[in-house]
Amino acid sequence: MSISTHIIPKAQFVFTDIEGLHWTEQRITLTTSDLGLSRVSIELTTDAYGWVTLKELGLFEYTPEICGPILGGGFNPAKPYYITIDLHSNHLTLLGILYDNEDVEPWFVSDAVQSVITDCRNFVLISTMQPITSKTQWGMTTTYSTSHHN
Amino acid sequence: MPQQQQRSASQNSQHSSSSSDSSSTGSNSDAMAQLQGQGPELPEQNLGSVDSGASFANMAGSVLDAVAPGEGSALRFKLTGSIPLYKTPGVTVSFKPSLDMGVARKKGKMEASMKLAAAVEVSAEVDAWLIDLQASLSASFSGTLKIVGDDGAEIFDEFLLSLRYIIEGACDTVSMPDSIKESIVSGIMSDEAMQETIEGMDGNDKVQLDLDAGLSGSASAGIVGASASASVKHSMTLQNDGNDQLSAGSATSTTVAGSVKVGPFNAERKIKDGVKIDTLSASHTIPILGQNVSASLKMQFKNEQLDKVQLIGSASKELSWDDLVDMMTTENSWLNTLKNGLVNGISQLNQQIDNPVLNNLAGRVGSSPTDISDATISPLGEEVTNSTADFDAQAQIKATADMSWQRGKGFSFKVTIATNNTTSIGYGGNKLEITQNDRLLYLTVGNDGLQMDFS
Repeated sequence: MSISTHIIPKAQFVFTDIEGLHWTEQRITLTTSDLGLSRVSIELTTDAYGWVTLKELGLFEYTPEICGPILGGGFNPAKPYYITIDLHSNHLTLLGILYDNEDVEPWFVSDAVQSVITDCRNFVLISTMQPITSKTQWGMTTTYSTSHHN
Repeated sequence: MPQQQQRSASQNSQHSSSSSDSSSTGSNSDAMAQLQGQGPELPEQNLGSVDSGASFANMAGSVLDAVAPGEGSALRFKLTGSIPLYKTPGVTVSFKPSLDMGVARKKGKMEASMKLAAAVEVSAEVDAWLIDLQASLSASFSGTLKIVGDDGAEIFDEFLLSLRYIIEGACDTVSMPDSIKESIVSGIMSDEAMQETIEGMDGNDKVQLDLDAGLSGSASAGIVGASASASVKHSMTLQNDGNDQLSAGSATSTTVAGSVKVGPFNAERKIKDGVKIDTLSASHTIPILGQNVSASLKMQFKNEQLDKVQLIGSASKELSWDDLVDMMTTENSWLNTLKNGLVNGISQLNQQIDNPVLNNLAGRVGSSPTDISDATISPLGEEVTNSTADFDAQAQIKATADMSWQRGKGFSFKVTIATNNTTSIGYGGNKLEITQNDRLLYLTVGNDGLQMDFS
């Protein structure tokens, strides 16, 4: 297994054209196995407004039904929200061919990848977490965290 | 607190791009990946019934270290156990965590993603507050944690710290003796163990406690200085202050006061003797005696910790003495309508602040007995209901509903009907003298007479 992470520069943030969504940090993680690219995840950091907007618009296939319980009983709107989304597996073959297993950045900015990676309909919501200590996060995972890719 | 400081050390140490075998991301993405099937899945580990939270952590930490994946590897396993929270003859409260864990080791750090599904079992025929505690804990003890640590012991120390925060919060929402609370809280993690965990924190470690009163909206400002569109944040930054004591990082010795309106809430801050006192107030319409009246909700925080909640509403009405007697003796609907109105009011206001304490209070009010037969009729009320006077005359009454909760003092729900004018009814030997504000009927649930001074 190999995992590569790329912190996306602000100028290259994805999903920026959705009203009400504001991102403070984005990082993309590629997981590869002997069979090739097996997972593309993006962790998006936003605030309470962003989380509410995501839910209202049903982005990343969000519905209330996919959400598990939230540890602690709920989110604190004063804290950052770490939203993890996964790319639909049916895009992995193409993007895997384009990935050389070494450098994420040129792969990420290529037109073919951008056309897939910038479309929020190609992703599913995996989890939403919030920091409690520097070592601990609380939050919830969705049904996609166990069903997706299985 | 700068956001970066809240991220794990491994996250902070990343460069803009990294690539390695099994990487060092520390992000949710790959931690979640462990839960999604990365690495082998081990058989379930049942720790059985242990003595305490500390025992659970020791055993779980040992198990975790024993099965820990090597550098760059991951695995999954399920861990279960049972921790007694409170045990006296006839009364037991047990916490039964079930952890679906994904664990990976990256650059020497262990990363654990835990899906926690915890049952709280309470023995039969216990006090009502234990049932409330069970409900509160059950609502809070399910969800996902992600913890980064050096080894299994550190992972589960952080785990216990999280559970202690949750259980302390749950204990504060119900009326229980401090001695019992202490037993239950320390059953999860003792003060000493908490102290040791704090002492073990790195310099940048901070504990951000949810004190559960953020008003929905902006995620940035405190009460004072927040814009109208912003939200009120109630969280307290606790940190190792160098003396191994948790200190309120946001505390200030400056005496200032300010106010702001956020959504339906007016928020006011005062600093008294170094204690930051925030009062949030809002009004909500509830039905009392067939009228929609404006009820007042007030919440007070001390050093950003919820300390008091009070919801009061009252309505005056003129009705026949006969109808009043029916209200006091047989007619239940007005009381149920009032109770449901209070519950709805609390719930709707809580949509703005998403406060578990308020949720719990709404539940307490909703489950309070409100059969008219549970109410107490005052001596004057008895005279009225037993009188043979002509009751066709009109009575002026005032009904008041008062729900309050105070940290350390408990919960109180009171409904009162009193006279609202001074008059007399009947004639001769059947004549009753009525003085304004004489109590006719009252229903109390929980601790009566909480002192709720919001000044």
